[in-house]
Amino acid sequence: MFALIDCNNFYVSCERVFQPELRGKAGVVLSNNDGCAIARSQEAKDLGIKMGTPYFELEKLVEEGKLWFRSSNYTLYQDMMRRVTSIVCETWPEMEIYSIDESFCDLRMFHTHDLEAMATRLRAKILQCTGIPVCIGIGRSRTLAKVGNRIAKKYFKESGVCVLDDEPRTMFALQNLPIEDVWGIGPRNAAKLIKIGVNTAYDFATINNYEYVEKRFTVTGLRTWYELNGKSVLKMEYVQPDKKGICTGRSFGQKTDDYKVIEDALCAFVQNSAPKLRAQGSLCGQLQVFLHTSQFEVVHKLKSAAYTMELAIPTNITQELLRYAVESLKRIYRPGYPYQKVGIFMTKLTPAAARQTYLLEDMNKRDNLLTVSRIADRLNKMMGKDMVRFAAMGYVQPWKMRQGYLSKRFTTRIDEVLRVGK
Amino acid sequence: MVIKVYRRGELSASRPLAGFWLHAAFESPGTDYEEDRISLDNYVSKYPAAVYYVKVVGDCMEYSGIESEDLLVVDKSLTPQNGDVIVGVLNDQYILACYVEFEGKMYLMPDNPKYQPHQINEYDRFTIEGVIPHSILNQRRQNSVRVNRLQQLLRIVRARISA
Repeated sequence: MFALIDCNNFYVSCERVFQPELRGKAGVVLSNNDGCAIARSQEAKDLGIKMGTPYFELEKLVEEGKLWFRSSNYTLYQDMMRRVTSIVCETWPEMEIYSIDESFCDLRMFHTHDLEAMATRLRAKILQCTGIPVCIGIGRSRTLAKVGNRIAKKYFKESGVCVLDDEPRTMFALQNLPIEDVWGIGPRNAAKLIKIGVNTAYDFATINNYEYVEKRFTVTGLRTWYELNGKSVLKMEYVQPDKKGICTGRSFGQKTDDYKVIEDALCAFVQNSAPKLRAQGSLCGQLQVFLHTSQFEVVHKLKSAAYTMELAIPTNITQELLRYAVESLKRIYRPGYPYQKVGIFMTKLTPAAARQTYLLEDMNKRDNLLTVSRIADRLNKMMGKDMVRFAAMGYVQPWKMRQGYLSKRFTTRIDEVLRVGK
Repeated sequence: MVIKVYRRGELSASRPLAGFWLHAAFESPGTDYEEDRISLDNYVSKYPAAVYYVKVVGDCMEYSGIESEDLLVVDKSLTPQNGDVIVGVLNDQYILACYVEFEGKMYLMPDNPKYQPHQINEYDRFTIEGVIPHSILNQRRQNSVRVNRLQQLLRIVRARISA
């Protein structure tokens, strides 16, 4: 058996743990630029607010006092997620973190246990120790665990647990799950399936011709078909695979053609990505800088440019990456366009341990630069992001994430902890 | 002809033969015995995943030795027992008080007689957010206490002299 533990409205729940005045009221968490809603409370969903609704459409509700909102506070969410997963891990150690609010567990070693009771206890423990409500779905495959989770969210909100261990329950779950909500079935395949009269997960699972499934929906569809029929074919990934490429790019708060502003922003993105490279022990072998104008601008010609640079000597040293990035930017920048977004994409990552040394290379200088970068990484981790940085990233940062309504980092900063008493 | 003789350790610093430095000195005999330093996280709670910190505002818990600006450990994994100091939410407001159950009723008692205890009634929305197992008291901040200690010492010394 497999389990899927999924936090309910995770970002909103995190905000509510430390701000009780938000509990029981409709609210949303906004995206990085405070642009649109990326998480909604149940009450906000009931109000009909959709995922990705732009903030200006919500402003009226906020003014009327019917809705609260916050900027996304990823520092807080990451720490809460760590707490949740560490509690899950104590009960079910074979765990895979699937996303910031979901984890899969392999329960095959617990086949003699009462899984429903275990899940109920675990759920209560997570709620008590973190304040985050979760739903747990259990099934004979990962896809069925996911199905169980959806059913728990929809029909068993109070208990929050759904175990699909017998035929009637599994049938009920599959019959009540629209085909487009099945994990692994994309919107295009769902449309194809509805056309041939397959409307629910049950209809799909009961197509009794696997050759037909494979022919129409490739091996991915076949996997889903097996999984829905209770045969586990998806492997657990206990260790997250190293990233194949690192991409950082963001829209400016307002459009700009000021070269200095764009360069500052790019340098800041390089400085955000370089520590990720170093942390996973990779070197970057190819670097692409891209620059876009606003897609909604009709007056100006749409312009999107990118420059790709092969690095003869792969590197993960911030200074070197900065130099290459700025050089690339200079090649694509043209004055007079209202630029909306700049970004950097680092690919061809190779492990740093397998790095070749080059004949005419000053190894000492290299080691020194790397040491400086490492110390900067450590300081930034200890004392907060961007505590130590290169002057290239500028001092005034007009392109910076707006985040006007950020809550405190209650769990990671001693000067931002809750204040109680009177 | 000039022959330069390099002795060990004198190789040109800018062109080492290998791309890294080898440390050839003796290893400390303690390396195998290295342990993690003492960390309070594991002392204040059996369950660090459920530990949070809060700061005190005001004098409501003065008689428990909890002063304003002190740092408190909140352990959400603990079940509150009679008399525990707790952090709760009473009608959307955070509250710091002693939790007392008496004759089937729940009371929140600030540990300073200046304030009145509050009996939880049926209209209150009340949840306990966590139990406070430890507080971190700044011994140096309390100037008044230090003066008192000096007076205490003087009293003892004087009493001895006069005896």
